[in-house]
Amino acid sequence: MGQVVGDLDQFRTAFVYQLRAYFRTWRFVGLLIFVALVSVAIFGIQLDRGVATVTGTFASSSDYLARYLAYVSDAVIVTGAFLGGDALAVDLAGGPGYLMLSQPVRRGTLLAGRFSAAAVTGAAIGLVYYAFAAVASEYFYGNIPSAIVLSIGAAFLFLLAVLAVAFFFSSFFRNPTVSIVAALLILIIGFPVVTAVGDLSGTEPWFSLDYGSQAITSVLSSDFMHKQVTSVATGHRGGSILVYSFAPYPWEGAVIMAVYLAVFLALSYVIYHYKEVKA
Amino acid sequence: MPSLEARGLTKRFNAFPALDHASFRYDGGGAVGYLGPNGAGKTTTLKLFSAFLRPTEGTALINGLEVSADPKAALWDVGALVETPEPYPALTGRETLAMIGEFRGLSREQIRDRTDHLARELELPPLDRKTSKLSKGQKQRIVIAATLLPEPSVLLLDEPTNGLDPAERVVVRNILIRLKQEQRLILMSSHLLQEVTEICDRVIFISQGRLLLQDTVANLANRFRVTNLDVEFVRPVEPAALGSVPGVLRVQALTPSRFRLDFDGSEEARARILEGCQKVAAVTSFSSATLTLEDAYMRLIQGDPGA
Repeated sequence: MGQVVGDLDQFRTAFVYQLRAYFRTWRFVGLLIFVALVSVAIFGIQLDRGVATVTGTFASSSDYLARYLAYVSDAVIVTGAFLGGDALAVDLAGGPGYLMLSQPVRRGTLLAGRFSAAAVTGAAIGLVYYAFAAVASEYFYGNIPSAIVLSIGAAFLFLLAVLAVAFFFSSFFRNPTVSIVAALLILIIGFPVVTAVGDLSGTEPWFSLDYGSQAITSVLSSDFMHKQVTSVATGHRGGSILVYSFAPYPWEGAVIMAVYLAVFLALSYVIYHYKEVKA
Repeated sequence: MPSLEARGLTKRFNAFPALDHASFRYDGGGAVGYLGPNGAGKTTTLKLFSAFLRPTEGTALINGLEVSADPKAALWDVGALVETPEPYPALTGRETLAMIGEFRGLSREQIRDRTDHLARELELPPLDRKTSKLSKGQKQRIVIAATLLPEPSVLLLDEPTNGLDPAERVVVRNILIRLKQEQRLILMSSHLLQEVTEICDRVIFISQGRLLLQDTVANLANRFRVTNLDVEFVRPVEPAALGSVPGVLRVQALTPSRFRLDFDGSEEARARILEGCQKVAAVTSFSSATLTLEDAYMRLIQGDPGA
């Protein structure tokens, strides 16, 4: 028997082998291809429209990138759900869990190692999207705005929050596939619906992760407005309705994402720590 | 000195008592067979000792450390093979063993040496192949190797040879016998009573969540004394003549010249009955069935009041 190993060394082991597993899966390759294809498609369409059209539409490279990166949150959601959706459920479903969870390793250590590996893997995929965006900005505007760094930071924070939500579902469900699908549905449909309901009712949807993620682009936008109210004619007896549109301040978005990260990661830990393996 | 102890260990799933106030304690090296029918509570017990489940009542202690209070400390010197563990499919066999070794604090040299040793001993499949490409039996051998790699002083094994072919079973059986001789403490459940007889020197019988019996295999032979004899004569005899033989409690005619005689199971009574039978007619055969663990197992789970 070896000497007693500290939690930090075991964290490193969990991280290294999980990272190795992630980079070796078709899931990683598939996500890379997905992000690359989306990026190429956007870049290709804009190339087809021509430099003059693009630069005529967006006054600055920052505004251009704010538009270009509007889809980054979707890429992050898909990446996070696929990387984190089954990270813990794989143990709770039996199989590998019967090998791993009988080892003298705290479940919190395993969770931390896997979460960190998922974050690094997800960041690697996300950076592909940003690399294409940077190349496009340089091509059309001859510069890359420095605020892209803030956007990358916000996107990374969003990735961590998405992973926390995905890990929560992964600790909750014993079936890895169900866990991934549940995380995807909540992140792709659930939160945007909550945000839309907030906009329609005139309530700032500060409680929605989707809303917080808009900080990714709001740090780039030169015409940022926290709240917009538009009167829309209904066509019924000359009436109209007010349509509200909210965008989070960058700090506000960061706080929302950080809170989601903290709360869902804590919930994941508690559930994973206490869950029994009965399968 | 390795030790395993259950103190009133109880696990209920809703109201169903999967394990009901089980208590036992084993100190020092040796192998304990854990026997019972399906659903008796064997795997539940092993899961409680391996921290997969938490007890509803009572405590499970390994080397004096309470498993549910500090699983990392309690499981530090334990190798557990419970249910049907599998390696992570994206890792190779070598990586799986290295990962387990690193979690256990083994140096790279120790991991390499022990991996090479186990590869020879267990005839492991190619270790640089991803485990998702391996057969079920090959995966199981990787998992057994992962369990043995840290050379733990306590082994918790849930039907360890299940799924292996006969040759592989022999290999694992020999390893377990060696580990027992090296003063490691093994608690193993099995349906293969022959295997338990060969490996274990002590047994626990469990049924419906309750421990029925704990004893050494040797003591079981005395406890489950055979209480009938088969006797055959050279010619047909009257059953009534045998009924009057001292020590015979009941006579059952199998054929006109062959009978089954019930007695109290003692060696003295056996000798008296043989002597008495020889006075009735010439005896060509006089035997009692040899007690097997299977006999004891069947008699216990069938609620034999004499058990």
